[in-house]
Amino acid sequence: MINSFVQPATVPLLKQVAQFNERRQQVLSANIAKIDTPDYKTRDLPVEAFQEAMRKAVRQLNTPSPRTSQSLSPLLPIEFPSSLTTREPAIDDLFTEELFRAEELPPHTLGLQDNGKRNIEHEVMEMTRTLMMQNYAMQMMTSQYDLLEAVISGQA
Amino acid sequence: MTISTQQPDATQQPDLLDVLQRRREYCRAMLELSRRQTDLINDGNFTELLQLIAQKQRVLEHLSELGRTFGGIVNFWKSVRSRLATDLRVQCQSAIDDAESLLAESMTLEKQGTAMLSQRRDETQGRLKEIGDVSSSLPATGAPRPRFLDVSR
Repeated sequence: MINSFVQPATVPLLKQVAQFNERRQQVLSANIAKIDTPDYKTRDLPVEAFQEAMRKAVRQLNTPSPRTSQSLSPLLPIEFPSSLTTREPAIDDLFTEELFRAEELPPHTLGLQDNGKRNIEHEVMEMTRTLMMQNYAMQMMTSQYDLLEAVISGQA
Repeated sequence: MTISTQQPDATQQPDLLDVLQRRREYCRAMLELSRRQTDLINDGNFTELLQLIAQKQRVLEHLSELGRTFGGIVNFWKSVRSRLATDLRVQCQSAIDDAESLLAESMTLEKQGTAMLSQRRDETQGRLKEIGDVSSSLPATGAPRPRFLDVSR
């Protein structure tokens, strides 16, 4: 099965997949590294567009070109119109630079990393931390007040 | 150090003044800390507030320790003051009056600070509840998709 997939014709395709995955890995690693950076917007490669390019490339590989048909059909000496004999674009041409360029993702696709949501989470964390400090300060101040009273009355 | 309250040892009388003066200085430090505490509560600087409370605790411990000198500095003073030399008595009385005045002001600030902090805490709790109510009223979005690790999809 692997042999049937790894044919000379599919090598350019595999090269594109490998490059895309490598590039995407870099982008996702950067997202993770900058998770705590305020206002950082998560980025990703255009996965849907890449998949579409892949589909086109696979279709192209599986469809014999008209010129090939012509050469293999000596019994049909029909000249194809030039539009039909024009070669499909090369595999590499389908994978444009844009497919490897990271884009900022819209907030609603980010789940827990959603900008608005992240702000709320950050605010809740900060407020919870503040509340804990306030509670602790209150306890300490109350006990210090009692101690102060004892100091004044000479009982401490 | 123990001395008889009936017949205070004259050699220890300067110690009494020294203790009372040191107590006054700690009361002054306590008041200064209470003032800074008020500012920090007003500014909402709770990290520094906790550090200041720790400092206050040390001052209070010193005050408490000094208060226990002579088996209770206040009672000791009351029992010996009539027998002290006038000059020494005046100096001791002055130190005690100053300390009481400083402590009274500290108590007022401490009371105000506690009330202010209590109000701040209620506000924080209120805001947290508000956010909780808003979040629970939002439509559920479901579990986030693991798209970041799904490289090959």
